[in-house]
Amino acid sequence: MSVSRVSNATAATAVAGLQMVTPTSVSVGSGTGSVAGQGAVTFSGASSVSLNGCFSANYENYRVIFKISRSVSDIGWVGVYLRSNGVDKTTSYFNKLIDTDLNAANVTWVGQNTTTALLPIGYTGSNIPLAGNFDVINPFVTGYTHFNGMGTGIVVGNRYQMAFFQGINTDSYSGDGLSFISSGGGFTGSIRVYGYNNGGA
Amino acid sequence: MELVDITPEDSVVPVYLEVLNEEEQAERDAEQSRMQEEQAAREAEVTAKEEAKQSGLAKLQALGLTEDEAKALLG
Repeated sequence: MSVSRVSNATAATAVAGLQMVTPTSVSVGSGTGSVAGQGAVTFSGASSVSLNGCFSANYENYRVIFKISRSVSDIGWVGVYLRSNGVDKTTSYFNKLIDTDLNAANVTWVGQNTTTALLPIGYTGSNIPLAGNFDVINPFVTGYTHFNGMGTGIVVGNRYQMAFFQGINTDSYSGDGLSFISSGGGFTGSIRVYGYNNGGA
Repeated sequence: MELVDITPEDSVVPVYLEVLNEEEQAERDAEQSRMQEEQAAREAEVTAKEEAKQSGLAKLQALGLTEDEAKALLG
């Protein structure tokens, strides 16, 4: 699959495939952030990170790739909000995260209880980042938004974790951005957003 | 919410510090507290499942099953 870069303000080109998207701005709840020329969003010591304007009418669907570590050694988890015009959407998420311990000889799945306030994407500490990806289906067009993702990270006891998470925001909503928050403390890492370009003029 | 421009020189788009108002901060704090509770619940579930598995394993072995047979039953 070909990958190319385009500003979010530029109309989709004729090349089908993933195209990296640059948000129109980034907000952090603390710490620092930056966006490189190729669109990678990096941040440090941030209590939250928001990518504004990364969703638009250019693409129906998106792929988000993340790598996040907490600034403190205790384990915490990371969640995602949709947002629109700089305001987080904090209601109507129906989701599950299930994970298993990569260190264990056997597979025992553990479920994260549902929250309607955000989409959980996994756990992290300061030594092993939470890294993974998720697709966001139909965020910008007013209607339901679906999330499908996976990641690897670390849980209490410094045990490596793999997780799947899926969810739906069931409000008739148009989102133009995403926010990442943790269960406490700041985090450091990088996030990239790609649009699925369907090709054609 | 107040936005403070903290754009570094090497950033190609603006970067802002979001300063939440009292109500927004309270909502964020409440969500983080709930996330911490969910994490504690997850850890308790992991511990409980492991203890139940070990207990079941011991009881099956006491009934005469080998360790491999007991593990095969428990999955």
